[in-house]
Amino acid sequence: MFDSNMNFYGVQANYLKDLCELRKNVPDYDQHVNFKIFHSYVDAYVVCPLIGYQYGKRIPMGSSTDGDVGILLEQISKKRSELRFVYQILMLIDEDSEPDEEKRIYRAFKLSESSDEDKERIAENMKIFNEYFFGGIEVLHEQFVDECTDDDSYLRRMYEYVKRFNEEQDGEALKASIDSFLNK
Amino acid sequence: MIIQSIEMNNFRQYVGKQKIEFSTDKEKNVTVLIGVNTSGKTTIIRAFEWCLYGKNGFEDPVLLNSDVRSNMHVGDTQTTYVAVTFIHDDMQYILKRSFTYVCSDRRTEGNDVVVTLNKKPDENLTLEYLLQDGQTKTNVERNNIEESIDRVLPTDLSDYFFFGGERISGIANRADLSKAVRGLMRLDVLEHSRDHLQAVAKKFNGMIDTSGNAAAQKARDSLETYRKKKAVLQENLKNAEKERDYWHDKEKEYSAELSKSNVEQVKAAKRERDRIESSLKREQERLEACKKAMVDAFNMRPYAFFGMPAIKKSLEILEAVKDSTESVPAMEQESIDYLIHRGICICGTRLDVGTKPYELVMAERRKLPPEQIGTVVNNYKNKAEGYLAGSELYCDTVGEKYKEYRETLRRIGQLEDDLKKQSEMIIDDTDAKAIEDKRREAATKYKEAMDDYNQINADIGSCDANIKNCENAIEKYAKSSSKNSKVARYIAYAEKVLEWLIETYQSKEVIVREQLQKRVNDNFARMYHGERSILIDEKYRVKYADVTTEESDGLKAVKSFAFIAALVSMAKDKILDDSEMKLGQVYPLVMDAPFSNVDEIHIDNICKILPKTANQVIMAVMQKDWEYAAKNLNQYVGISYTILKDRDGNGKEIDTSTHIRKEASHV
Repeated sequence: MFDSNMNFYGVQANYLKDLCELRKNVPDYDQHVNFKIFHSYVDAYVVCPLIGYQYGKRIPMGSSTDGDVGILLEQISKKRSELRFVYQILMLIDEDSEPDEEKRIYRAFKLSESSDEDKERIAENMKIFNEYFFGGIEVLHEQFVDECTDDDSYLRRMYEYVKRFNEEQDGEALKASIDSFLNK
Repeated sequence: MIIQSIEMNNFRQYVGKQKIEFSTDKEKNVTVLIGVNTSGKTTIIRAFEWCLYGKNGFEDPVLLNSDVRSNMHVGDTQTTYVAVTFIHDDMQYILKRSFTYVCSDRRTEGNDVVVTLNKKPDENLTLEYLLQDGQTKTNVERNNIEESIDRVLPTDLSDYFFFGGERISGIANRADLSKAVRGLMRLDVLEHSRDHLQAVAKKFNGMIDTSGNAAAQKARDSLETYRKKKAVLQENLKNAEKERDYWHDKEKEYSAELSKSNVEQVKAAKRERDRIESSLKREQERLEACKKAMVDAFNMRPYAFFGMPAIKKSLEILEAVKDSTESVPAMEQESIDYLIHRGICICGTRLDVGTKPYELVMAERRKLPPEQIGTVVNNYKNKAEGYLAGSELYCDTVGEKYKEYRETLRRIGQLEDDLKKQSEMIIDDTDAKAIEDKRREAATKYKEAMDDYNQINADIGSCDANIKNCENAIEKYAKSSSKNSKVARYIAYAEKVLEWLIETYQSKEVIVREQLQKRVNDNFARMYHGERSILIDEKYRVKYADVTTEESDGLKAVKSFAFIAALVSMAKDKILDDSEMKLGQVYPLVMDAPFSNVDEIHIDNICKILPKTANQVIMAVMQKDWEYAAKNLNQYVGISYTILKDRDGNGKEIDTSTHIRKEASHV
């Protein structure tokens, strides 16, 4: 899991490009506007699935004619443990794809890929993960790229988005209850 | 080149054969020729110019002494010549140029005798050198003389070494000094080799036979197109550069004019405007940093923040299933696997796949080690704690960074308002308003021209890349095809040498630029009483680092002296020499009335520096200037002469006849 190059197809692949800075080694890097909300694709890959889940948005992968984007293993490796953590969260809580709680626990914690059966199961789970990833991309694209015209509007939107999320979800209370779970 | 002597025969007012020997002493390297006005100081410089380069700078082009001329009868011939003896690369050379005149007519008009000479005198030029043995003289072939002299001291550069006081102020203000500087430092040698090798490589490239290979043929065609395109672009670039420089100079000019304006208020407003402009620039830089900091904050573990609701939910689930992690002590998954394999439970129930008992046993299995759920859950919690660290600050940090950004934005707005206000104050004064308008227009035009220039430069860059690609394609083909392998090897060789040359050239040019700037400034600081610093631009032009102001002829002269002294000293100190390359040269400085535009303090200062920087200094000066110069220069004087006009029987000076007297004091 998370141990190979990842390729994504569909219109959301292009949306992802809109949300992330170009890699510095792209020859005409300077010719592009690189004021973006994410530094890199992999940064988006860690957070977007959670945002997709939060908004209840799952989008299956489309076709390469609509767009494609890849994340190199080298990048993925840097965030592998975070990605696994996010994967486990999603697998634990997503009732939409698996109503049976016991099975959710099982799929969240059975990470080894020793048998073919394991591999098949994890591939199925990754599909769900990536669908939430696309969902999150779509949400952020609507929130940022569709709404913002210049650096200033991007910055304002980033601030407002974080602030609104904190208020709506009551960040303080959330934090407190998470702490109480963890400190037990 | 070190000049040993000059010999003149019936050359202008120097009647008969007259020889001046110059000091070649390393310490006492100055030779002074002191004379009154019209005594013939300038003639000596011109004698050098005529002998070395054939330049005849006199109003009356006849070089023959006029007394000698008036004694000629029809059919008589008379010869005037100048011979310069000099040392170059440890060899002694004698260069002699002569004109032989024939008298074609002699008439008497009233009291005057009018002698007409043939229009074109016979010219003879010889260059001979003395072999190491000190006696065998060898003649250089006539056809090679000019070229030889040009190698010793190029014509283009002669202005820097033979000059009169009235010309000196112009030297450092010339439009492009790069050729002269490169010539003096002998960088042109490298430059020529580089150009030659480029041509060679190109020629070899043209020799590659691309017939029979469509791709190579196509690359060859494109190459031609790109080269043409590049030539056009380079032409455009030159124009764009001119345009850019023009507007840049204009802007500076208007700025300077504005600062000269008498209205105190305008001056103060301008100062304030400049101050605000620089604060504004700083704030704008800060704004960019703020934007970056904001994005950085947004990218700092965003999953921990946006994932909080999900994480909470996951922890709730795990909390609830904690009870269901109860299991049979000391039992492992392997035990269940055994039962499944056996097909019958301990209680005797059959364990067929898909049946309820099977499901129950399997559910039990999942709770057992090695994949014991309790352990994994604890691991998960531990990890969660690590990943969530710092997330409580996420929202606040993003808010803080945004606040910093807004604050910077507000400060910029304020500064822009202030700037507008200050500009309006400048506009209040009618004259200044017009200038300010022009300045602003020039500033806009400059920016536009700069953009154009950059665009063309970028286009050339992409053209270069295309050319390189085509060349590579052709070369690659050449390497792979046997019929071209020889040419390919030549190209590779030429390119390698070229690469080395360019590298060497560039590294040496950097040295020249740095040293020149340093030395000109050092000299200038020692020569000039005021505080001024000097910049050397890309064309080696000499500019003041501060605002352009009016400069007097005297200041220009001082600047030129500082420049020439720096150049000569660089050549003298052989700053570019290394174990493989000897580029250092020695040059004489031959000057006529060099101090005519310079006031006494500066004469003093210049005289302290010149003898130390140049290998040889020869100067013709007026008695009154010499009085100032002598104080510092006397200790360096090896030989001095007085130029005296001859007198007639009544003791009256004769304008057409001059003699030179060696002064005993320095002999």
